[in-house]
Amino acid sequence: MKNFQKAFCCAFFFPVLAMSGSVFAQTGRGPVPSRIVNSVDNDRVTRLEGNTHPFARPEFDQGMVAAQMPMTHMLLVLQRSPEQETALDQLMAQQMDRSSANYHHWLTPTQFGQQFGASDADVTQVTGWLQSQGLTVDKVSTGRVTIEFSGPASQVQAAFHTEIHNYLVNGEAHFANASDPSIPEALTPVVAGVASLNNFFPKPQLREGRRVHRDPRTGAITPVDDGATGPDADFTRTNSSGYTIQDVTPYDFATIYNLLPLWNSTPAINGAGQTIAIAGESAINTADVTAFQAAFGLPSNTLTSIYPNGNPGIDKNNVEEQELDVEWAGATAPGATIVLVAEATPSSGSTAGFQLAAQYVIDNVETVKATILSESYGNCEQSLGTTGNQALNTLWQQGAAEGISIFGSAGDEGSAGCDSSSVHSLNPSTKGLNVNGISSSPYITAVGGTDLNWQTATLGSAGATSPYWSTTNASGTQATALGYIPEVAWNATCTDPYMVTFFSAASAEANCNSLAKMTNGLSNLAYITGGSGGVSACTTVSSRGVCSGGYAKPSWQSGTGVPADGKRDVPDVSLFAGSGLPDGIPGSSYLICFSGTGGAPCTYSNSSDVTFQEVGGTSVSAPAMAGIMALIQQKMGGPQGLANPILYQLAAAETNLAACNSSTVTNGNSCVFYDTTSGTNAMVCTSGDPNCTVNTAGDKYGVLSGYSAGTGYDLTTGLGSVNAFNLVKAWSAVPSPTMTFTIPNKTYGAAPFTVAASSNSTGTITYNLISGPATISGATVTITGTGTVTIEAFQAPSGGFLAGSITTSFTVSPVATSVTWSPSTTTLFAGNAIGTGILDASGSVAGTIAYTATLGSGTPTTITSTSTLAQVGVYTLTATLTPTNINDATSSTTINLTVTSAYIWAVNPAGSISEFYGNSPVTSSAVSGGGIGAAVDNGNNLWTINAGGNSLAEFNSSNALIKAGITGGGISGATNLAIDGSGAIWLVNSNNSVSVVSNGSAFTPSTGYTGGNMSSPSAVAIDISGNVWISNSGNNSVTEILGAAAPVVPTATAVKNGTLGARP
Amino acid sequence: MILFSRQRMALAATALTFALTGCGANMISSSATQGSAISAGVPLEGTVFGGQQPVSNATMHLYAVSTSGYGAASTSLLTKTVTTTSTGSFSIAGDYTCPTGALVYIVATQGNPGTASATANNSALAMMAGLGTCSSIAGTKISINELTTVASVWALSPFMTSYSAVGTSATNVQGITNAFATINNIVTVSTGTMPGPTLPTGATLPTTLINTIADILATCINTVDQTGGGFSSDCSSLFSYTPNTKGTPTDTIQAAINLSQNPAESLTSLTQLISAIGAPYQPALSSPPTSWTLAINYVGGGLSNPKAIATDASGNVWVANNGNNSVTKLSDIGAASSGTNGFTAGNISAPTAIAIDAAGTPWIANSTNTLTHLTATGTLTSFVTGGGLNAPSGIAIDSNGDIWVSNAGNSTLSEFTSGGTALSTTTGYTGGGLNLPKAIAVE
Repeated sequence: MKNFQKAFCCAFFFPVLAMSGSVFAQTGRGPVPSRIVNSVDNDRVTRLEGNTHPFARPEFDQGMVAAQMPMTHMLLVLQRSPEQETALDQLMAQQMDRSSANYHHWLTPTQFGQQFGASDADVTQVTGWLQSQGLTVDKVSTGRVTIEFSGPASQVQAAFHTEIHNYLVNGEAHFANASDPSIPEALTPVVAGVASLNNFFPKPQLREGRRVHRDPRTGAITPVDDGATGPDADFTRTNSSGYTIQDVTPYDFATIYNLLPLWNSTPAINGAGQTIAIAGESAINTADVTAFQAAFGLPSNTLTSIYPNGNPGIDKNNVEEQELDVEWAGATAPGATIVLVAEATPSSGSTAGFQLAAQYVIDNVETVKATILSESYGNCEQSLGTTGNQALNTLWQQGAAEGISIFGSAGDEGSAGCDSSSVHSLNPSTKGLNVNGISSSPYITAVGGTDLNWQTATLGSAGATSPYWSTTNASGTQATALGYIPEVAWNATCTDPYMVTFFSAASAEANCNSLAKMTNGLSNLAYITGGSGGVSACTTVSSRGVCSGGYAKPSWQSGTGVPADGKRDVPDVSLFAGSGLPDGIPGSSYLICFSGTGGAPCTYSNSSDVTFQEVGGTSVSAPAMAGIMALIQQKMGGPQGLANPILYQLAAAETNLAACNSSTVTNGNSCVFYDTTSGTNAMVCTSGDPNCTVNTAGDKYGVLSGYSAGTGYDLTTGLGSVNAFNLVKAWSAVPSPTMTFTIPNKTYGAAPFTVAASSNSTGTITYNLISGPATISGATVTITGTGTVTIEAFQAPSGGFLAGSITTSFTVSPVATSVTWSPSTTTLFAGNAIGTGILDASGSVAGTIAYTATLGSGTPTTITSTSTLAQVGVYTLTATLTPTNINDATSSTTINLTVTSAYIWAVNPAGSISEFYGNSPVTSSAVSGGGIGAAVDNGNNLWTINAGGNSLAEFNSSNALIKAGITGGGISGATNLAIDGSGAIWLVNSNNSVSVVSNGSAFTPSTGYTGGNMSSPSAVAIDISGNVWISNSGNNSVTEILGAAAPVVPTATAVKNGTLGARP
Repeated sequence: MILFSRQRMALAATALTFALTGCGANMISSSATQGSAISAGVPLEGTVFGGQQPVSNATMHLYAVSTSGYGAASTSLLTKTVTTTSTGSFSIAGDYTCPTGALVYIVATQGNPGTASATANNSALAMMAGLGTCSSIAGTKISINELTTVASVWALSPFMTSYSAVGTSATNVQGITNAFATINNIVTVSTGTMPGPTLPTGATLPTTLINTIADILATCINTVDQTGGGFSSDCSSLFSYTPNTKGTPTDTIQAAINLSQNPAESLTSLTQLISAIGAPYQPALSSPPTSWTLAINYVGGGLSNPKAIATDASGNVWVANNGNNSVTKLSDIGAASSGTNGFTAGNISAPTAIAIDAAGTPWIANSTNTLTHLTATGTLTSFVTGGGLNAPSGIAIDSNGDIWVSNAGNSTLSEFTSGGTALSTTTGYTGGGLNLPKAIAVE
């Protein structure tokens, strides 16, 4: 009984599985085909190039790690099939195309995994292989982009055919694989690689300023930490040199970037109802957030925390980042809910916690409910390695497909993406140009940094009043900004033009070489700090660390200033990122509340000791932009997905860039973007290092070729900063292109041809085959069969227009064929077999011919040569050719077939008649009577002379004898008969006379009619004038009896017209 | 007295014949087509003789035949009264209009057939002559007498109900046109004598019978009404022997019509009306005929042991000659167009049957188990074999135009398309008790 129940249980369970499978199939896409076809052989491996960290170099090598060292959070990165890639690209284009049914039709993580992930079988193969290698599979991502696993170093080494070594770099201990890992060849169709086997983690992109406190009574600000490094700052303070420091509070930001009209509108556009996720690695002190909001007049918004892998606690390396993210995302969208999603980065881990946290947000968008995601970490493309870049790119792509707008810090390393911005002593670039690979993916909005440039107006004029700032803090908000403030590229180093001017140096190179000699550190600006930007050029890294690749330029990235480099350029947009400048130099910084490590608790509530933290970097501009996105999302009423396509088209629509030049633009403008036109992200570098330009012989330091701000887009600040009010207002106004697309119909066999859609947008148009018998390559269509072909023209966003699409269909007609029909006759008796003589049609090409018959306007009936047609009438016979070649057209031809109902009588001399209906006898045997001659009257009755010739018989058309024998009138040895137009029967008698029977009885006298030299008359006929004609076999003559009969229609004509025995 | 008078009239008629000689217009064409246009009548002149005597004071009528039905009322064309002079002459000088193409005939009624009394009149008198189409009668001298009357009435009999009602159907103008043409086979209208100008060589006209009927009519025509009114006793006698279903006639044309349509009527009584010696037209029968039908015998054109005969829509007559492997074609007036040996194209061989198809072309069954299909002019269209032909004995053509043949040799039927393709197999159609069939017909 128990066993039975168990069996029953299992039997019940399987159908449920099967049913869920069929539901999956009904989504319109079949199950993803599996791609792992060969058995996994650990000895047949493929080396994954470019996955050795640049610092995993012999000079840092500390030897192999302990075999049992646990390694965690390793990611096996899966890759899509080319077909899936194409389909995903197409879908994502459609999601941004208002004319598409898929417009804003966002996927769920599960749908994404089902449609664009590896098949169940493939996942099982891969996880099975990991387990077979003694490794633990921790998680297969819902979107099926990565598989997280862990295990001891020895197993990792064995599985990936590499060694894990310890490295000591700049005093930091790391582990890393010493050579590129390998995976079994059989897995390569599905596995892109292992994201990392090292713990060189991305760094938060923040630049900490000074911790300051302000005397609320006097307003005096003094640094709390007068440490040896970093600038002093305040948010309205005159320092000892008499220069002013202007810090930026939330309301300052809202004033500068014109958020206030949104906040103040009815209803308020302040992010209400929107959720912004912050991906991080540390818990925060939420009291700091509360204090921040209270201090600067912000409402207390909703803040929640999600720790997918347990509470990471306060992590000293990340807590300040997470606090500034939360505080400033909330500061620009004060009505939004902020969700901090944090996952620790254990020392054993190989993947940064923020990345795992971001993956959690993207894999659980339905429960996290955040469709805006911000992260503020940086690691250059080269350092991430080939697979590391892939892991991030595919993750952000999944997020975008789910409608998530993702924002990331462009980086704080200026153009020197692989150098560190966290060293604030002499630290020239040694690694050349590179970009932050975490935000160089096309599926994330890279937010760069600007600095406020109000100082130029007052430079050298101590105590001068700035036109941009109020001299008193606004009550409740502490705001002092009066409006928009000119911006320059953020660069807090010796290469900054402002610094060059400030220090009265001849050039940046001179400035850097001069400042590099300072040893007190305070004013040593020969290091790396500035808004990052550049060209994605290192997504593929060779085993020797040589860069190649880079993300291809996305279709939407176009417009004035966008380099024609074919590559993804960053950043996309920038906001203020200043953290203040070294002591004595006027500048600005964001303020946050941060009571974490290294200082007094944030005590805004203590009126006698109000303490603030200055902070800057693209760490702040990214969440601030995420907050602005929440305003957009609130206004639009739903998720917008990747912001970039619209950002660039809004920029393209700004035709008067000069009016929006950030140096000269005035308040009350209609600009969406403030075009930053001055400043550079060039960084100091060491002579001889990559990309380092030294102009003055003997200089130890040069300038790393970077990028200057300029008109339109540039590689320092992207499109510039934003006027939030105008941005929100314009968001929905980006037009779709108006496209036209037609393709003339074709005939099968037509040569390949090019198609072209036209549009009022200049965006690149690509063509996709939607359905039908054709292939398309570029714009060239090759016909492969007959039917309807539907082709879509998709236009990339460009020149102020969104993406657009239009489909058109054309018909490929089969090659014309013909049917020739030359029937032997076009008439048929009802009930007779049609015969092959009629159904003789032949086709112009090989194929089968079928026939139908249609009576009048009736329904066609299929016929063959043996068919009979029962009803009389005119039939339309149709011969239809179905060619053997499917690309030949069916053709048909018709003829008319007249079907008549007719009886034929044959008269047998022995004294009987045989009646036929068409070719079929009416009765199987003859009917007695008659025997000589045959004539049919108007009633379709047969008249025939009885054998012997002395009487006349009449039959009806049913073969019944009506009159057996009419005698008299001289009928005697009659040899033939005819019927006149009155129905009278004329007989010729062998005694050379003529007898007439009219109305059933003899009309002639007993002698009959004689005369006319009749002699053995053989036959008689009546003409149209009523003359009776008799052939005389006895004397080779013809006798005409004048006008004695009624004129009669000639026999054949009468039969045809149904006028037998009638007058013409 | 009466007999004497008739002789005088005969003499006068002879004189008139001479007078007409040289006028050249002695035949009437009948080949014009019917039309609706009206043309002014050309002058017509001639004489009216009854019993070979001039009829004076006869009233002339010119009629166009009707095409609205058999025996429908004719259209009277004269616009004024025309009567004959004392010499029986009349002249119609354009006193009529004539529909172009219409077939016209002339009738004389009433009048004095040569008695002493100038006021005497024969109200039963009616004689006629069929003329032909309006366009063909210009300058024609017309001699109306009993012979023209008999020739006209017997030829036009199927189309006549009275002298003022001669008509055909709209679809059979050819039939009445041919009938008008036949008049010219019998009588020469310009002279009032037999034979007609178109009678083919070798044809035999029943002149004695025609004379007899003319004489019978003359018994009435040559009398006048009784004093105080009423038909003469001769007329009353004639009319009493020539009734039709509507009663006795009241004029001599009607009497003739009735005889032509009831050819066995009063054979003896009527014959007895005439005196063999005194009859104006001679020779005449002295004993009754078997009927009043008039039959012409034609020869030539290759006729040889003819076995089958058929007519076509033009009125031509086709004959299959078993004796000389040929086909004879006679026109509606019996004129052969098939030469002296008949048509022989297409291996015609001991033909047994002939049928004319709806297109007017003949099909001939040959004893050689073949069919010959000729054109209307006797050239070969196709020579057909197969289909089970075996001693073919009869041909019929069905409404599809298919050719059906009865095979006396093997008791089968054969069927061919109008193009000559066999529809029946080589065994033909069998069954139905076929037993050496000799004839075939289709409905």
